[in-house]
Amino acid sequence: MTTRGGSARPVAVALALVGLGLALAPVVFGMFHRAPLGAEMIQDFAPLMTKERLAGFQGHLAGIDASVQELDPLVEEQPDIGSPSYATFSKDWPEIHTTMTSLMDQVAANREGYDAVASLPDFRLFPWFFAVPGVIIFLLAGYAAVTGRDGWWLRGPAAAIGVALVVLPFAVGMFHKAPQGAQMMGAFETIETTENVARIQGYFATMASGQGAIRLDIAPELVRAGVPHPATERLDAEWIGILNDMTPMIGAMSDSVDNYQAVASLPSFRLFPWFFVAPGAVLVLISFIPRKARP
Amino acid sequence: MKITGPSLRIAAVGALILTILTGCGSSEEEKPAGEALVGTFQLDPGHCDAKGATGSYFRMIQPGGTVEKGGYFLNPDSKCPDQSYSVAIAGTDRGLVTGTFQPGPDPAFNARGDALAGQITRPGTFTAIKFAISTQSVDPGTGEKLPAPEVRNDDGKLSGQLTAWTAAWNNLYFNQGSPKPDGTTEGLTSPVVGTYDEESGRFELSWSSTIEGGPFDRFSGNWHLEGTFVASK
Repeated sequence: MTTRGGSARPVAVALALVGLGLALAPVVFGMFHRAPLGAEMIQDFAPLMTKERLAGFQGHLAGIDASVQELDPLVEEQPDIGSPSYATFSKDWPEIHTTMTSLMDQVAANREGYDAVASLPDFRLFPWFFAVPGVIIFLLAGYAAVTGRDGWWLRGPAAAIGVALVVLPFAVGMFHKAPQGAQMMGAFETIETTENVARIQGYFATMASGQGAIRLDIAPELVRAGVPHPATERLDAEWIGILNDMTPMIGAMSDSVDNYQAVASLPSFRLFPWFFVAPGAVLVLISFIPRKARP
Repeated sequence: MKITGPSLRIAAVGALILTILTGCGSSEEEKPAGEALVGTFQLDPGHCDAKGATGSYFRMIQPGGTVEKGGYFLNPDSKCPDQSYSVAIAGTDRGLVTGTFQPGPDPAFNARGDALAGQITRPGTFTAIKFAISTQSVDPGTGEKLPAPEVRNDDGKLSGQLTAWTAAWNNLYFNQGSPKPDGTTEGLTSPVVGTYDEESGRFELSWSSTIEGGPFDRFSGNWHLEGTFVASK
């Protein structure tokens, strides 16, 4: 049934405004640009954010630390087995160890937050979740407003879209996952900066140089002298694996700085479910405003 | 002769067309200077002593550093007194071949992450893992098509583009060409320059290239190649 006249217009105009708001929200928040960068960041970290891999990073740091703790007294006793590279590494190691361990603790503590965000629908789809229904409602309601027509051809789709918007956050667990994602984004705020990544790159250079001095200078001397050094032997044996593991992690951190900044400039993840529920509920309510009977 | 209004307008339009045409002419890309040297830039092995290095070598500069002063990434596996130098030894093709690509084997890495390409230089060791050089027709990082290496000689001065020059290490690729694949010279990236003696074929080539993205983002490679050019038959 279709009604005509002035009584239909306020409903149509209200629906058109909600539709317009939905359609423009992704544009206003730059979601078409930022959401794919978020998807890229999630993808980059995917292979690294497993329980085993994160435990492995902590294990690597503990292994390096064990070797330094083993070697420092030996080098102090026999300074001729040391080298300038090892001296630099040994001096810098406490800071590197503390910073890197704390960083990995932070990352590990937010693994569930990462998993929660990664299990949401693909970030690239998010702007379309708003834009597509927004455009549909705006076109239908705009037509209704211009012609003064009203009917289920307008209210039906508006109500259906409204229900879908309300249901979607519940269906994908957004109320539970979005706050976890927000917490992760907060934790990564100090990690994903150009300065921090440059510091970690510098640590990496110092560790690589120091391990080289251990592997090529100190360890052979200890073998010749018959001094046991099990922690250092273990480190040397595991070094390739450590490089294979840590290099991609630094790469992902480095590549994600811009992506993180893009995602961080979106509204808080905590608000995301409400961006669906609020306009959805409004659409449903407007759709059910009683129509005036034709005189 | 009397100059009328219409004549003036015709003259003005003519001058405008001439200006536009001249302008178009000057906006055309300048032809690169000199003649292309197509063949093999056979590499002398790198040597190093307390003063530095000669021959063919590579240095890695940390972010914020400069080519002249560093700071450099010290390669613990370098045998040089100054471990910022990693010297190179010619590979199976005896050096860099221009006008074509030297992509290396497939797969490019072994299980340890050692790079296996050995046509241009023999794989060297960088922090315990082998690194290798190749020239790739497609950038492994971005998927962009890359031009084959080109070096031109203009009366003893060398220039050109080595955009396809790619380092591989630890299952990763690093574009080390100049200009970069997008045509820019970001960071410390500097044009390929050098000298060439036509009689003896002796050449020197050098350039720098800043890494974009990955674990060594904003690190730069400084490359120096030296040897003898042998033209293709």
